[in-house]
Amino acid sequence: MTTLHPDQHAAGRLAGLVPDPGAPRPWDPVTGDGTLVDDAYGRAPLVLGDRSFGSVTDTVCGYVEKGPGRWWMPTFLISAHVAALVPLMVGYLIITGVGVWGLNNRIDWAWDITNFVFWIGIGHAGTLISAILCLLKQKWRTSINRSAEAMTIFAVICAGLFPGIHVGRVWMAWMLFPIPNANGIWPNFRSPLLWDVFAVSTYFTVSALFWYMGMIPDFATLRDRAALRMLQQGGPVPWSARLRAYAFGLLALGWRFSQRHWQRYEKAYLMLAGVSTPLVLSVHSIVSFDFATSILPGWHTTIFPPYFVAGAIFGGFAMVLFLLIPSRELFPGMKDFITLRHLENMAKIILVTGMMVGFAYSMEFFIAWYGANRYELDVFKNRATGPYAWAYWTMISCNVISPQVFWVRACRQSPLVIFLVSLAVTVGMWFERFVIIVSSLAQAFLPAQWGMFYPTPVDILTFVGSCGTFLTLYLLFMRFLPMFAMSEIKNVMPQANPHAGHDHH
Amino acid sequence: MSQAVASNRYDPFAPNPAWTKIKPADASFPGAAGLSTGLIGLGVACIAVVAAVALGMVKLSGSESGLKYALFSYHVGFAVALGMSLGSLGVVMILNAFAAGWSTTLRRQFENAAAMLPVVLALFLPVLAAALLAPGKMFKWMDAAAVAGEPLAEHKAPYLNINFWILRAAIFFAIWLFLSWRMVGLSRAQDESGDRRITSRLRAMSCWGLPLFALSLTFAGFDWFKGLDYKWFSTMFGVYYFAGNTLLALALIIVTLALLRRAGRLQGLVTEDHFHDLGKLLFSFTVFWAYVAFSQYFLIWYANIPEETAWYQHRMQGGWQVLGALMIVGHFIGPFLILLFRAVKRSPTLLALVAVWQFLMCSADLFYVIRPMAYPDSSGLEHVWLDVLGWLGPVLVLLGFFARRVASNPLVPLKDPRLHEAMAHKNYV
Amino acid sequence: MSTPHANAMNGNVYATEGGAALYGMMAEFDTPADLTHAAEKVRDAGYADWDVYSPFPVHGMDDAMGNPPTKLPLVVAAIGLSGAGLGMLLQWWVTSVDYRIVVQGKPYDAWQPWVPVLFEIGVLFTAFTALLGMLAFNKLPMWHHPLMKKERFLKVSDDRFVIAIEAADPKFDPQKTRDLLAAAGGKHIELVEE
Repeated sequence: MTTLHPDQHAAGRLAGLVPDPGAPRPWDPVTGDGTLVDDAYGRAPLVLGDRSFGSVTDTVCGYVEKGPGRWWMPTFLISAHVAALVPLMVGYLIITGVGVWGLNNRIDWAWDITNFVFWIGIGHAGTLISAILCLLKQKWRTSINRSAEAMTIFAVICAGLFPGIHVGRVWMAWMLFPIPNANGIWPNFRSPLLWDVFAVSTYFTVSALFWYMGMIPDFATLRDRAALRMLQQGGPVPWSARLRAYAFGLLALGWRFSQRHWQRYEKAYLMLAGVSTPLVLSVHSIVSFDFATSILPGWHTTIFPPYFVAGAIFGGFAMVLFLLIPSRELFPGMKDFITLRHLENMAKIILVTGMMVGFAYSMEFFIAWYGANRYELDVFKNRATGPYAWAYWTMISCNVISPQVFWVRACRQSPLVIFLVSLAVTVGMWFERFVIIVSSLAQAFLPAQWGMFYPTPVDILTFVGSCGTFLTLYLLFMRFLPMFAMSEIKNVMPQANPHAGHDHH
Repeated sequence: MSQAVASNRYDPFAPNPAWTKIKPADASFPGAAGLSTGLIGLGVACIAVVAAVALGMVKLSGSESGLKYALFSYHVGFAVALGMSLGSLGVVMILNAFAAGWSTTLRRQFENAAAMLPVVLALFLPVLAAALLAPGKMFKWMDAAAVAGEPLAEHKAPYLNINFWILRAAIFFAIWLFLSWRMVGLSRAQDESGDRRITSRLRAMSCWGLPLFALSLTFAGFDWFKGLDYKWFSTMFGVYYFAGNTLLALALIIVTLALLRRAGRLQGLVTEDHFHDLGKLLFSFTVFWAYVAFSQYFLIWYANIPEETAWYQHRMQGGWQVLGALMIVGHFIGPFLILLFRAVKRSPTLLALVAVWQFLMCSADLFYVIRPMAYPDSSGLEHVWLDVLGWLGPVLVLLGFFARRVASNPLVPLKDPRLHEAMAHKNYV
Repeated sequence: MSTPHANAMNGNVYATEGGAALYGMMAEFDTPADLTHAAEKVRDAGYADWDVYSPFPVHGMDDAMGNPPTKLPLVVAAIGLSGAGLGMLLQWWVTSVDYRIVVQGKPYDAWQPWVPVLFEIGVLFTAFTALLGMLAFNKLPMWHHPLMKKERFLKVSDDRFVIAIEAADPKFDPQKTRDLLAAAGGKHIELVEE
């Protein structure tokens, strides 16, 4: 152990973790939490609480081994019941037909595609945190990447549901893939909807590989702990402990923390990050092509690809914060890993991406006028003043205005404010997709085509069910899998520096 | 190190031990000044030849096509010079906003390039003069008679009119000059005082400066380059322009640093690991540029709406399609494959060669945007030498002043609080 | 329990007192710094069949061990680019050869619409190769290993740092190797049975 970092000391003492009445005064009496001290010379610690490597292992593995606490089972049961709406609603839809939704001849895409884009967007933050922040060497990512990656996968699962069922005849969905068949026909590779199939399935697969690869060392840690307990306990070993040891052992693939393995592992991780970064961009770009390749006013605009990507990151980070801030309160010791500095950083990303999205909104408006296309301009006027103005202004206030509070330091350092803004952004991003999809279709070229969309209970309950599915999967993840990348967290702790103990500078 | 943090926390002037490790010989290169006069002289000569040819042709033959030709050639050079400087300003602000430590020793060169914005303003004067004295030669909409009765021009007149255009140019330059003056000036002031609060101020300023920068850059791109064809529009254009500018800035700085290293400077300050990361940045902006350029082209190609497609249609015939193909192969696929190799990114010489190539490709990209507008009806590449001179002139002038600035300033921020991070920077994977 | 077998180079047969074949010798270290210094000593002593075990990849360890760079990136790039090529081939064959239908008046052989799927398939191949290639180069999965039978070794996944030198190494010698590890600061030096 090296000497205690002053920030850690201050923060630990303030949190009551270090009982040390004789300790020096907190370094920054204003901000309190040592991670928020802004001094260009030093870097704030990424792990608080004067932790050793062993205590990181104990805490993180403890979440899996001891379970999350009493709140978990009721929460899980409720969300699992909500999730059960999905099979009910989808079953009803398949038996009856897509007429059970509120779609009509004018508005033939509505909540189904809105939900698809909403969920796939949320699924972007995980890979962003793992891949892009990894390439940018942002060390603070290590304590949020695992749960964000998990979120990615669960969100993509929710997203994948909707395109599958919106085609009407679900049993023909296999024709989306290029499978040789008796009819002698092939999918149409010039269709954006087919690109979606490839993009979303690739994204799901690669995210899952990335997630799994990151967990291999942590599975090995859990395996070794289970094995050690079995060795040390003596006497009969309960079946659950044995099951855990075998399950984690199987998943760990025999990882034994060898440096020669680590070398290739880090290389492979970097390469996965390298391909995942353009993959993230491509997936939401391709989703945006669904709209932008058309000639429908409000859909066809060239900024759609980067605008959708920025929006996805925006919405995804909001969801990460929305889940992590409560988890931080519920799990003991988690505040040492997800410090206020982590929250502040994410709040800043919300602010930046929120402004990017705002930039895209205004650019669309400007070019709608500048392009001098009557239809385009009318669609945008209608968005702001027409029958869907309420949705449009909900979107603007949630996505553009609400993140502006993060210009104020106190707001981006307050978990409550961040939580509220992330909730607003999540709502706003759903409305963004709704506005793009429905308001453009609702006022297409001819007044005879104009109309409104009204969701049916089936629409609403399917979406609610998808939220339940997402939450259920996330709760299972919190219960059974390592929520933090232990080896990565240990690597950004001061003790991990091989030059620690003798000053090289 | 933790002890040092403890004792220094509230003393903004406390010295960083890394400061004393910089040898004066490594951090200065007065020799670059010699280059400066030559480059400026050559650049001015190029511009003079272009101007003389243009005016001479008007005088001798009464034909104004030479003037038009010269103006467009010069505009490409101006665009490249602006891109290098403006792109560098963006990089400086991004590095400051991110509180980047690894790049501390590189930042000064980006600052030097950003400090060239007054030169760019001077280079803008011919464009302004052309707009005032020969309206409509470059920007057709400026000639009221030529576009009279054109519905598109009339619709856009509230935005595309000469007074507002000049006002906007003034606003853009005001924003850029202010930002570069503060970003560069404060950083230089820190060289003297070592006040680490300056780093925090720079960071705060970058945070509010970047939105202004993004908007001004986008609309400058609209005004000066997209506006050459007032009929065409693309919401993506600002992003496309940003990507190209950043690539230009990276290319310039990579070459500068490689040359300084060749001259025996920056030992221990800018290492292979820095080149590795600059190479990664060059790689990622190459990919980002390709992504944006392809998306813009692709969406317009796919939707096939006449008023958008015309812009690309013009560039897909009459010889311009060769340039289009070069953009795909030479600006993206080639550098992409080469920069995949770690050895290339870690070698200053090889990376500088790729950077020179990308610099040429970025110039060609701006040429592709600007030059075809000179002759909307044909390819008109009859005086290539004039294009080369028009491109070289502004670029050489800017490089000359840049060399002078490199020579007259410390090569790295001498008293940056994060200097130790940059000096210890290593890519382990 | 396998029978003792001879060291490849010097022909010595190493076995524990119980008669089990010897895998090698392991020593523990407290910190990444100690581990790095010890690894440098083992490297300089000329050992080849040895490895360092740490709960996370210690930065600079590849230099300290003298590990050559891995070939994995070449394999990944080759297979990834081939995958992208295959994706292009599939789309070309389907769209311009086997099933030509007019869609939106676009040419049969327009390359533009093939780019998204081309890219996605390239990424898919790259990602699979990166993960599976990493495992293959590492000879994983391997659910049994002599070291994993050592109780103390199981703490590596928590906070211990270990160097293990294999008996198969030409320079392995029970006494000299033990002395080297001890001189390098190793604690709890013990033999590991096959």
